[in-house]
Order: sequence, then C-alpha cells, then structure tokens
Amino acid sequence: MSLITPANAESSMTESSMSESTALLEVDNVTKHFAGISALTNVNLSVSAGEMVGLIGPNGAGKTTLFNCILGSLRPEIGDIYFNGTSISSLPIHKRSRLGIGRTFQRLELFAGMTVRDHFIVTERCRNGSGRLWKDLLNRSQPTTEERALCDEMIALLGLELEADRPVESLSLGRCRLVELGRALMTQPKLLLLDEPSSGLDVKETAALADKLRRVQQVNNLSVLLVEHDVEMVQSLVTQLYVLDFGTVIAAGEMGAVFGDANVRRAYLGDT
Amino acid sequence: MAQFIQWLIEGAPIGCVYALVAVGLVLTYKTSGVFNLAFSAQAFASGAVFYQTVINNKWPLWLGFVFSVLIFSPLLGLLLDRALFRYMRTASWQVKLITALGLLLALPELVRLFFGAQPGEAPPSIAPLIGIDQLKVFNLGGYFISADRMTAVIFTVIAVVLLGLMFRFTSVGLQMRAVVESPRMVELAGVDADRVSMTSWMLSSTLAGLAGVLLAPLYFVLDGNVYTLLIIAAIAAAAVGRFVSIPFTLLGGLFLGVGERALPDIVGTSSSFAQDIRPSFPFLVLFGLLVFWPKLREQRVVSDPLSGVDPPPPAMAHEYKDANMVRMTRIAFPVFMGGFVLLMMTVVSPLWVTRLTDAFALAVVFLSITIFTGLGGQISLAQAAFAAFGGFAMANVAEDGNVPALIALLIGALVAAIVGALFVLFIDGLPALIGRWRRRPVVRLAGLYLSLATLAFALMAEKVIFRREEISRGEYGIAVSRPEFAQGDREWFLLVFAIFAVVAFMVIFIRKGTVGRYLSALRGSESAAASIGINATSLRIILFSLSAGIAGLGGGLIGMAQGQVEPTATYPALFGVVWVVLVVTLGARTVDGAVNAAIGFVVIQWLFEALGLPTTIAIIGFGFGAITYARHPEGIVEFQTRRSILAAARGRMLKSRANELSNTGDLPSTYRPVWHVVLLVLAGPALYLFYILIRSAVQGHWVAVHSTTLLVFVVPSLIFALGWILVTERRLRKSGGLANGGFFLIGGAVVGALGGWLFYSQSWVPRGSISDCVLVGIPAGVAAVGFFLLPVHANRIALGRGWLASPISWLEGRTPFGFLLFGAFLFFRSSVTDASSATGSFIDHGFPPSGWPVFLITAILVVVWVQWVARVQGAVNELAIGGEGFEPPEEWATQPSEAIES
Repeated sequence: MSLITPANAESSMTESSMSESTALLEVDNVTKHFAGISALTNVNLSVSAGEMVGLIGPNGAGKTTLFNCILGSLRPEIGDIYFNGTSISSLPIHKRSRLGIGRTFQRLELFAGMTVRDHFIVTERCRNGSGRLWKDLLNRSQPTTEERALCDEMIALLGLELEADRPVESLSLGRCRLVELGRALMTQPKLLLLDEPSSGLDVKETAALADKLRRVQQVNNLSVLLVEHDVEMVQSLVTQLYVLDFGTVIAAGEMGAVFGDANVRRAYLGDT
Repeated sequence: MAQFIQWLIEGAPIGCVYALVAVGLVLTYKTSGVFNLAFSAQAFASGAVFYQTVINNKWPLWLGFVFSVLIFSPLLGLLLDRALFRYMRTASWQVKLITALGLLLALPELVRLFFGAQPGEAPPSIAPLIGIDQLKVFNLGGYFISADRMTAVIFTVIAVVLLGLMFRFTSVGLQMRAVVESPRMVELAGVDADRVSMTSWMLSSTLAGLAGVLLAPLYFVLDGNVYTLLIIAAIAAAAVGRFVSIPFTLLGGLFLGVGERALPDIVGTSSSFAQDIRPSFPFLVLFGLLVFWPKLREQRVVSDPLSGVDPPPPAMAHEYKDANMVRMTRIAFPVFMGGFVLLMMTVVSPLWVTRLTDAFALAVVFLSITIFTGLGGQISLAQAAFAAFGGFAMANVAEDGNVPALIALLIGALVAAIVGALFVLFIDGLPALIGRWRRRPVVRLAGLYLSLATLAFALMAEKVIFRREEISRGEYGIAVSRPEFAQGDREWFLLVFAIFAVVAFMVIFIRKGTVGRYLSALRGSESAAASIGINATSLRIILFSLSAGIAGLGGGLIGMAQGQVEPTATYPALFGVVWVVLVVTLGARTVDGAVNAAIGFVVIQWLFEALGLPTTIAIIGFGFGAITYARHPEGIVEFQTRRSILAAARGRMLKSRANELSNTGDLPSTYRPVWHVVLLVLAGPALYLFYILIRSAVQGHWVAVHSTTLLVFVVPSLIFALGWILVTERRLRKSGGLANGGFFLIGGAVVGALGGWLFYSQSWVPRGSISDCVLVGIPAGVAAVGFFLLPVHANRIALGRGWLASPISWLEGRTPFGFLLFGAFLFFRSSVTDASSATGSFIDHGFPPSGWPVFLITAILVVVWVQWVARVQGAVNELAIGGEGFEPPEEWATQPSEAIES
C-alpha cells in the first residue's frame, strides 16, 4: 500500500487501455440555470484516465458552477454526469468522493484547529473506512502504523515535514494550498479537480506547486481537471484544454490548437 | 370575514408588542451581529421600573413613562453595548449567543432581586397619557376594543413611523446597514461603527422598553414568565422577516398575535390536541419556519469576512504538558480519584455525599453538552428536554417494578437517543427530501438557527409533551426508586460515580477517536469534510443521538436522586439554558469543564442557601459569568489549566537557570526560591487544619473553632506575609517600579483603618473592641493595595527593561482582592443574620458540617492567597535573574501569530 504506486494505478491503466473510448469523467450536455440566468448551456466535457485537462474562461464563465455540478453541491437541470461509465448525478458529495473524485478549493477550506498531520490522518481514516463508533468507545481508534506511514509519506512527498504538527492556521497560504492538495491526494482519487490552485500564490510558489503536481500526477497516473487563471501554469501542465464563456464551451482540444483559436483569443486573451 | 376582523382587532394589540421587540431584535442583529435574546428581559426590567415608580413611588404617569421607557431603557441598551457587546462585534456566533443567553437568565433575576419576587398586580395603564380614559371601550363598527389595547396599537404605530423616518432621512440609517456586512470594513471606510451600533442598541432597547410597558396591562399582571414567552414570539416574528427585513418582521408580529387569538376558534377547545397546541403556537411557528423555509437557513449567519485575521485559538491545555508532567499526571490522577472515592465512602458527612452525588448525576447531563458543543461545535438549548425524555421513559418503565432500575435507566437513555435521532431526521431529513423533490440541495440547520430550533423544541416539549397524562401521570409526576443495592447514600454515590466515569471515558475516547476527528473536520469546514468522503448526515445523527442519549441517562439519574420526576419541576426548559451557559463558560471541550460546572451548579446554590442569600444570586452569577466566554472561548477551567501548566513550565525553567547561576556563584542575593515564601505563608493555616483534624480524631467528633487557637496558629504566618509584601514592595520600588508606591500603601492602611472603625461602630463584629477592628483593618487595607501594587511594580520594571513579555500583570490581584471583599461581606452578614442560622457568628459554631460554607470559602481563600504570593515571588525572581539574554522561550507567547489570508 504505497501512495507512489497505488494499487489502483495499474488496474486503471489497463482499464483505459482496454477501452480507449470510455472516458473517466464524462459531462454530458449539462445545463444549469440560476433564477433565469443560464450559467451552463449544453456543456460537454470529458477527461480520460491519466490525462491532465485544463478548463479556462473569464470570470463568470461558469467554471465554478460546472465544478460544483461535477462535485455534487449543485444538481444540473438537464444532462448527466458519468464517472467510470456510471451516472453520478444523483449521488451526494461524500459518495462521489468515495468513488474517487478528489478536489481542492479556490478559497481555502481547511479544518481549522487541526494540524497538517491530523488532516491527512482523518482523510486516510475516511478512505479506508475502518472507523466505527464502537471502536471509539473502546478507545481502539488511534491511528494505526499503516495510517501513520501513509501520512508520513504524503508529508515527505509535499515537503511539509517542518509544519507537520502545527495547526493549519499558522501556515502561510502557499503551504495551505499544499495541505489541501495533500488532503485531496490522501483520498487516493482517480480524478483530481483543482480549483485555481495558484490563486494568491507568487510566481515561485506557483512554479513549485506545478512541479509537485506534475510529479504526483505522473507517478500515480492521475486524471486531473484544472481550473486556472494563470496561463503559464496551464500551459506547463495540461494537454487538453476547454474554454468556457457565458456558460458554453467555445473551444476544446489540444492545448496549442485551442490557444490559436480566434474565438478564444477574443473571449479570453483579449485580442481583437 | 367578520370573524377575521374580530381576530384582527383582538389579536393585533399583542401582535404589536411582539412586533416591537422583534424589530429591536432585527435591528441589533443587523447592526451588531448579536441576536439579543435578552430583549424580553429588558422589556421586563422596563415594565418593572415603570410599575415601581408609578405604583409604589406614586410618580405621575408621564414621569414614570419617560423615566422607564425614554431614560432607563436606552441607558440599559447603552450599558450593554458599551460594557459588553462592543467587544464582541467580531466574535463568533457562539460567543454572542451565550452572552445574550447569560443576560436572559441574569436580568430578570436581578429585577426580581430589586423589586421583589412577586408578580405585580394591576399594572398601570398608559392610556391616559394620550388622553384616553382607561376604562373606555372603543366601538369600531360593531367590534369592541379596550383602551389598553387601543393604546398598544397607537404607540406601536407612532414608534414604527418614527423609526421609518429615521431610516429614510438620516445617515445613521444607511450606516446601520453597512455595519452589518463587516464592522471592520466599514471602519476602514471611515464610518464609526462603534457609534452606529451604539445607536441601534439604544434604539432597540427603547423599543423593548416600550413593549414592556405596553405588555403588562394587556395581561393584567407584571410577571417575568410572560416576558420569557414574549421572546419566543418575537423570534418567530423576526423569522418571518428572515431576521433582516423590518417590514416583514412587523407583519410577522401581527400574524403571531392574530394567529394566537384565532387558533382556539379554528381548532376548537374541546380536544386535548387543541388545548395543547394553543400555548405552543409561537414555538410551532418558529420551528416550522426554521425547518420548512429553506431560504431562512440558506442565508449566512452574520459573520465577519475579516475574522480570518484573528490569531488561531490556543491548543488544548494538556498539549502544553512536557513529558515530566504527563508522567506525574498519570500517577497522580488515579491516586487522587481513588482517594476521593475512599473519602466519600467513609468520612465525608452524609450531607456532602448527597450533594456531590447530585452533582455527578448532573455532570452526566453536562457531558452531553461536552459532546454536542465541545465536539459538534453547535449549541443545543434542549438538553434539559432530552434529559426529561430519558427521565420520564425511565420512570414509566420502572413504575411497575418489573424492570430492574438499571435496565430502566438504559431504556431511558435509549429513548432519549431515539428522540434525538428523530429530531435530526425532522430538521435535516425532511427538508432534504423536499429539496430532492425540488432538485435543490438543502443546507443543514446549523449555528444560531439550530440553537433557536432546539430552544423552540425544548419549550414545546415542556409546555405540551411532558404535560400529557400518558407521559407524566399528571401534575405530581411519577415516583421512582433507586436500584435495590444502592438504597444507601454512599452506595448510591458509588453507582452514580461509576456511571459518570464510564460516560466520561466514553466522551474522551470519542474525542480522540474517529468520530471526534470527523466532527472536528466538520467543524472546520463542512464542504471540505464532504470532499474527503465524510458523511455529514450520518455524523449528525450520531452526534444528536449520542448527546441526547447521555442527557437521557443523566436525566434518569437526576430523577432517581430526587425520587420523583415531575413535569415542570425536575427538568425546567430554562435549566437547559442555564446548563449550557454554565458548561460553555467553564469549558465545553473537556470532562473537567463538565465536572466543575456540575459541582459549581450544586455547591454554589447550596452555599448561598446556607449563607442565607437568595439562590437566584447564583443564577445571576452564572449569567454574568458567561461574559468571560468572550475572552476565553475554550472555557475558564481550560484557560486556568493551561495557565498553570505554562506557569509550572516557566517556574521550572527559572529554577534550572537559577541552578546554573548558583553553580558559577552568580546568583543574586535577591533571588529567593518560591517554595520558601510559600511554605511560610501556608504554614499557619496548614498546621491549624492539621491540629483540628488530630484533635477531632482524638475526641471522636468535630471540635469547635476557638478564636484564640486559630489566632495563635495563623497570625505568625500572616505577619510574615505582610512583612514579605512590605519588603518586596520596597525592593521593587527601588529598582524601577512605581515611584510613589509607598503612598498607595499608606492610603490602603488609612482606608483599612477607617473600614475597621466602620465595622466596629456599626457593631458588625460581635465582641470586637475598636482596637481589634482597626488592627485587622490596617493590614487588610495594606494587603488589598499590595495585591495590585506588587504586580504593577514588576510589570513596570519589565517594560522599562524592554522585555517583550511581562512576567506578571495587575490582573493577578483581582482574585485575592475579590475574596478580601467577600470575606468582609461575610463578617457583615454573620452579624446581621440571626445566630441560629448556619452562618450566625461562625467562630462560635463547630467546624464542618455546620460551619462548612465559611470553611469552604476560607480554604479557597488560602489557596488563592498562596497562589498570588507564588506568582509574585516568581515574577520577582524572574526580574532578579532574567534581563540580558534571558528572553522568554517561544511557547510562552500564547500562539504563533502567522494567520491565514483568506
């Protein structure tokens, strides 16, 4: 049981090579309205196993709405979302997470008052699902050596050794982003959704974060859906790119081709 | 239609009063973020002042009105804002809620203390003020309305129009809205948020005062209980306006008044259901709105967007312990507990055993608050109701005598747990089902709204469910007996203590275990918790049913202890509020906090009883004690524990440095080990206690305290302590303290001498001569000044040397000073109460049990006194051997200061 080569990495590899056509995540024709304003109109999007996909668009384009639809805090009116070939549209958030969707937040959502290590331990406990109330009552739910080892491994991977036992409130923003990433990775996700991970970070921190992300992604053969404003970070990471504007996908495909698209330049990069 | 108009005319006046309080509620909630549940208490206070001035003091009607509504009420609001809520504007909702609840408890008792406990009969009407004859009955097209009711409507209309004009045409109205969003942001924009919130407090307090004066004549009586119900109706009215809209709040008030009037006509009065539902109409409306109106719960509880810049809360006290201390605790704790149980089983007087057993039964209920608030981060005001469910279920099962009492207790706990689970299903599950049908996820009821829902539930349970014959067997309830094997008081204690210990360990294990971690995550961020796969719904069910189950178990124990479970007396819903306030103030996160709260609740009330003081003072004390919660959200017990752990670590560090210095021969002569001083100060009282114990053991009964022997033992220690104060003061003054400290001491001596003379001349001291009194007064006055002066000196010296952390602050002197005043008060009290009471001149009475309150207070006084001496000597030592190169280590500063940017 190691994070670097998780048990499911190989299986998902073989799975994806067996059926090239089935994407890991499939957003199928999703439409969502807010009080008459359509935030998303007939959006289609797919992420295959082991792929890094970018999602960009100006502010208010509907990126976060799409994110929330995938994650379950919003339900689309029309359309469906498939994960691993099955519809997840009616599942609550925590069940989607257990299927293998991990996420980070644009505005930090850490567990106030807990240390970095606590964050990882609680996530691992939730993933392996060994927590029981009766075990608590008999004082048998202290972290096992296996859980500790996994947690230490993640701390080492992200280089958080110095901060491991400090409460997260005392960490800087860049470190907090790493903790969020680590927490999402501790769920051993098949698909990782990153919501503007670089917002609030300086150039150096962003580069370091992108570096960590790339390493983790390659080793674990993760699929990643990245919402990001920082064009450099997007260019350095993703292969496929979707551009959202006014709730519709205006361009999709290989990154280079998309950046060359005239519509995209007009809507997003500001060229005329 | 005719029927409706009649309801409207008859219900509107009460509705107007509801609306006035509700508008005040919304106003302060919007401008200061405080959901002031104490407005009903303020209304009561104003009504009482009006009653007092007009009826008892025979003031003219208009003067009484002006004084109580236009002077007293705004001043009360001003006081509350300036002294209290101003400091809480950026505090969490829990802090604001607990403080308001504390006031809700304390204010009415304070009013009763001043104006007598009896409800005022025939309260004065203010109808003549606007030229209406009090006995006149108006005829509105065939519908009749009395003068008082007409007056209520007229005054409300005037108040609302004035309010509207103010909002429309003054800048304060605009500013009030801005302050709601973020006081700090508004201050950045140059608005004085302080002044805005002050204005709104005075304004809304005046509205509450007006409501108080209008309400009394409508019920023909001035009674605190009426006002408690008033607040629920006002909250329900404010909920109609979603706690933000003043016009809808007004409509809500009217709706409640009219609805209350109309309900009996609609459902009839014959069926028992109809009779039950009528008094609980406001609770039903509030509960229904909170549960079934998603918009209400979706709106964010007023909180400060900039609150993220506050430093994080300190870690739990036990995390500051070093390995040495942990080892010591591991040995000391079982020894202490074993010793305690052994003493309780043998020598402790039966009276104490009974009271402490009651305390531990209560502590079980309090542990349910530890679970709900300490782990869940939510505040439930329904724990008394859950305890009642457990108690009544236990009593019903055990009534026939077929079921063993212990099994009945467990069944009671189970029933309460099921009620708790059903409660969650009702407040979360039902809306979620509706939400699924409307394809819209529903926010869970949390925070302030959850607390309000529990309050409504608790009152509804008290007024409706527990009054039912099937549950409580009528007014006198059900008799219950303890288990066969625990009929004796000491056996009963053992049983209760064992149950408490099991539950306490359960709570500790849950906190450390998976559920505790999940709850901690959920408290930190609900969306993030969901994103890692934590099922919040099932966790909520666990939380509610665990907490309710433990409360039910405790309720069963309380019922067995009292031998009776009664529908209104055993578990009053308002006790649920007192309990939460008390536990949260002392510490909701630890078992220590719950135990301290329970012992405090039982013993302090008993103490006041024994001292011949009204026990309501205790409630007032608990209420105002909640104010400290704002400064120490972790709880007083937790705070004190952390402080003493840190002080111990600091002392040890100091000692090792002193050892280093003495090895090289550099130890300054001013350094004196703390224990030298403490030993000499403590020697007198300790030896005396020892002497009493030995003599009592020899004689076979408690011996009386004789003043001569007492003085022989204690006076040398006191003289030493006084000398120590004087010498230390002089030394500190010379080395850079407050230059004119000597004058303060002389002033203290003069005031002390005058005080002694006062005690003598008023003959408050039995059998004391003038020289006795003055001789005691002078050192007392000197000590009283010294309590503050010495820390101030030390503080000054440290600041003068440029130290970042001062070794001590003047606050250190508050506790011993307070005890000094309390001691003087006891002397005063002991002479004015008759000699036959437990307090009458304690020196002539025996030792415990008859003189136990004084003994208890003396014991605490000695501890406080020694602690102060130790702290000051520690600070003096630090000044002596500190200085260059002796910066306090990092962990002494309370917390790392780096904060999250959000």
